[in-house]
Amino acid sequence: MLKRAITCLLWFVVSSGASAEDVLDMQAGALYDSNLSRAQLHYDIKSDTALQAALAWGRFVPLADNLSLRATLEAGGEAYTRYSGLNNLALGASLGMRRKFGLGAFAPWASGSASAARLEYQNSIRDGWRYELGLGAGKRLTESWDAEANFRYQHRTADKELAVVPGISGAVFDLQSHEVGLKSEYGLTDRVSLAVGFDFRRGDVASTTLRNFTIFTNSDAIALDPVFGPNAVGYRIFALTRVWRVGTSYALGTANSINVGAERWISRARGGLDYYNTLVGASYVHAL
Amino acid sequence: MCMRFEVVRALIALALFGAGPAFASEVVASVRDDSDAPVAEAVVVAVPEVPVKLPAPRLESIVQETKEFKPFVKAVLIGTPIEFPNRDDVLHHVYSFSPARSFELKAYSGTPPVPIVFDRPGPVAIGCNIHDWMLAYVYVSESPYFAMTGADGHARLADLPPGKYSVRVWHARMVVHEPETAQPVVLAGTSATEVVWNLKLKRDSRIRRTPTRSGGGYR
Repeated sequence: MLKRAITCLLWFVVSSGASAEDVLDMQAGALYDSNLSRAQLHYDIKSDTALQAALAWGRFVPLADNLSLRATLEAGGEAYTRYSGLNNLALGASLGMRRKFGLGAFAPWASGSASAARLEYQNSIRDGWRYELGLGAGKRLTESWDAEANFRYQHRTADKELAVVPGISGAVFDLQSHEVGLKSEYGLTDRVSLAVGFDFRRGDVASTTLRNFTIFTNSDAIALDPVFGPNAVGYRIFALTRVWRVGTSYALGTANSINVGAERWISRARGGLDYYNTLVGASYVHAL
Repeated sequence: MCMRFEVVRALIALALFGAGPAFASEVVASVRDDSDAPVAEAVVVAVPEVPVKLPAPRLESIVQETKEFKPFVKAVLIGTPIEFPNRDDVLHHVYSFSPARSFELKAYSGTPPVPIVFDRPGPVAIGCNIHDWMLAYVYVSESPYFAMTGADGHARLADLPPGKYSVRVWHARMVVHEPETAQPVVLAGTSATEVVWNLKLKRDSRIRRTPTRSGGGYR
């Protein structure tokens, strides 16, 4: 079914008519994560920096006066400096529709999207598929300022289920979440823009620690996680996460930009299990 | 006698019509911003106190190329038809909400068969409903005497008949309303009259085309 959908998408990308626009979006950069293991205790907290690259290639098709379709094939990868087991490649496809309610740059819009990607890690325990459904709505408030709200459902499946505790699932990396978010961008100058955002995420978190009774009693899946060491154990727990984002973008011409951003994640799970992440990243973005 | 009469008549006709520019005046306009930098793409209009017969309008065009309108500002005489050829290999959906001329050319490629006639004076902002950053202005002049400033902030309105004029300036980012810029000018003989404005401009806050990490694009 999925293969058929991707084949149809590939056919659409290659054969869509003369009215279609090419889409070629590229990103490359680095991202530091202060708590890659999503752990609470200082000796469990592992930080690392990843080099990242992503590519989306496809077509954008105006279907009607205010309705458009975007279909892309997507590839991405990450290479970590310390935890090489997390190095990964992702290959997938995405389909999105967007509708404007009115004419002009200030007309509100709504969008929907669906995507699927195959995830292959250097350490195969995280290999699997990632499925996403998204809804969004937004409006440009002035020439310099726009805002949007979005919803995202994400399901990551894991190929392997390496249970270590009899009677408890080993599918630590089989994760589902729902997320709502707000985002706003403001153009400070003709080259510099500032973005702020907030997401509220409700769903599974994979936390890796040494054996920990509190996490054990609050998790619903447990498996060994050799990426962070021979004694590391991965736990799947349910958490509420708040994400605060701030970023700035510097335009290099019409198609390229340099972006710097930071995120603060605050996750709260049952049993007083709180996780804090700080992410700092820089990237170069190109769009055809 | 008859021959002498014909010569005098010819000289009078030459003075009135054929050699008009020799007796015409000109306005040299200088437009600068409040930091004294030259302002380009400002339209300077001289409106004669006594209405003059307008020449027949000619077809003009504003093209869409590399997902931008070219030129950014076009000044035309009232009644001018403008065509909007799409030279990109993607669709454009051109529109305007401006009181002087609202119109919509739904998503198209090539050149629409019927040009848009700009038959009311004033500025008209033009956009593309697909590519929100695309922007251009048509300034529609009710007077045949108008010109646009170059990079040096200067514009020259030549061949103006002697008489009284109200000279105005319009710029897409100026803070004041156009009528407030009006200056009375009396033209006599062949001398050039200089008109100067120092305009306070809003910052250039056009919609950004460049992509960001978080997307924010039109697709």
